[in-house]
Amino acid sequence: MTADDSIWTVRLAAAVLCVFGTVVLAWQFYRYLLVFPAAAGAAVALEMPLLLVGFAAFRLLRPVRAPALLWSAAALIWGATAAAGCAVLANRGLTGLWAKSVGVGFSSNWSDALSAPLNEELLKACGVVMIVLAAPLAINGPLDGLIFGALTGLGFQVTENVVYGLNGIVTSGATHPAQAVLNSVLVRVGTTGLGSHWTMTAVAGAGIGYLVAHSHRGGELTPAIGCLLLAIGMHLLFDAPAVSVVIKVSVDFAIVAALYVLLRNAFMERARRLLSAWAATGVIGQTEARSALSRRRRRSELRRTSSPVVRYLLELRQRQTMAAVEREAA
Amino acid sequence: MAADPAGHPAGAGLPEVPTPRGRLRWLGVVVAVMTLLTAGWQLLNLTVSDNLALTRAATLRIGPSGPDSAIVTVGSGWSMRTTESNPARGYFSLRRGPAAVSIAYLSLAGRVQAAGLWDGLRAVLRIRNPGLTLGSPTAITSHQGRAGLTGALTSAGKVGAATIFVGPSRTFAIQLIVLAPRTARGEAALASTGRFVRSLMFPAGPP
Repeated sequence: MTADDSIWTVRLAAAVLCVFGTVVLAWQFYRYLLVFPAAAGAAVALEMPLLLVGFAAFRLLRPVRAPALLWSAAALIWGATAAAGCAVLANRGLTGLWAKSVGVGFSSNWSDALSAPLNEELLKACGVVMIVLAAPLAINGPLDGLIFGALTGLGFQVTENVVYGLNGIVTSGATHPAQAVLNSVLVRVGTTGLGSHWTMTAVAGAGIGYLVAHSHRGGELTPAIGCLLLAIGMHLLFDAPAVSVVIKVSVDFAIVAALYVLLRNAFMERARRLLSAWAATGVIGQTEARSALSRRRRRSELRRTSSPVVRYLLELRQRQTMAAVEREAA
Repeated sequence: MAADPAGHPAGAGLPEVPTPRGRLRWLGVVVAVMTLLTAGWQLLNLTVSDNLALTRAATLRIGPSGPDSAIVTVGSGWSMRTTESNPARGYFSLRRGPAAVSIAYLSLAGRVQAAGLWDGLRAVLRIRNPGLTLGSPTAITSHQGRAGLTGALTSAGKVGAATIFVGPSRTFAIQLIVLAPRTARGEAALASTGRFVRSLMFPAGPP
């Protein structure tokens, strides 16, 4: 089998798993659309701002340049469909086992916290692995892994928010479906959204990025496993009963923010050193070395070029330089 | 290690592109993990019994502790389906012979919303039990003296009753759905659950 064949096999498998997740979700929830069309539509529509703003913001968080639109969307779709659909089945199985084995009293408080973190973090992390396999060079290191993890988690979060909104209709006796959906959105976007799934999968994704960056040395599993366990721990804290929402959200957000700042600073430091070295040896010019890491400076350089042909060549050159920096500094 | 497209010097830290065999091996790992989680827990779950026998006169609290909750008392021969019961979230699934009872705590956003509970129940049944038809509501009074609404449930193979009691604060309600097969034994079991439904008590008492 050639490299191309194996890539297309992975892409096909990913598409099949996304379709499977969508079918599971549709089977579970399509009746809400028939019985409460307006409220179900509102549950989806009210998540769109979170989806669009989150998608744009996470892509912008990647230094130098945004990740490819196609693979960013693929990560989001995996989280929203394959991971979320499989999580419905996996969580039902494991929470059922807890209820049967440790008693209803304990399990009603703890089965979510002891089931969802394991199932959901693994299912979401699988999406980041699929991006590594389906899109060679999309993820070069931990910072890329963090960004793609955040996108995968965001997709999952949006689907879960819609599901909670729909469940809210039933738990309020369907007396005011639109208000039940709105209340759910206010809590899950306005209150807990900042520390929810995207933070956990971002951390797990960074671990997968470490694995990719160190693959030439036979793989370094320790940071990858460490990040996955940290993501599971963050999720457990998030689902744990009797812990204040403020603490849950703050801790999860602080962890991912600190990890992002550390990884970004380290990446930028390596990138600057690389560009200086390349400029010193004459591989690239001093102007290019100064502008390569800044979106604004690159755009300004392009604007200063009057000839369309030269502008095209310069843009091509910028892309190649950015790709080289991204790979080597990762 | 190949040089990058710009002809820049290749560094020692470049990640390796997976070989086709390595890529397929990792794909196998992903598919295995997803299959294990999705189907494995479900299959394991099927091997364990889901019936928890309840002792006679056992009480179940529905909803949070305090005045905004309710209590039901079971007689002999009752069991709980543990996978479909969650006291923290206010729902239980109970059985007595062929009769199945599901109890749910409903949080109301406002006091005026209690008036829409019967229509809401009809709509929810279209989602949860699409084959069931809910009849018109009639008055019912609990042993505690609390007034509620009850109505017949019918489907091709089942008969039952749905009952709603609104809590004293009118910010919550308790919904009880009893279903039994449309057989002589099922209808006898259904009749015997009437006492159980009326046993519902609100700690805050009737208004």
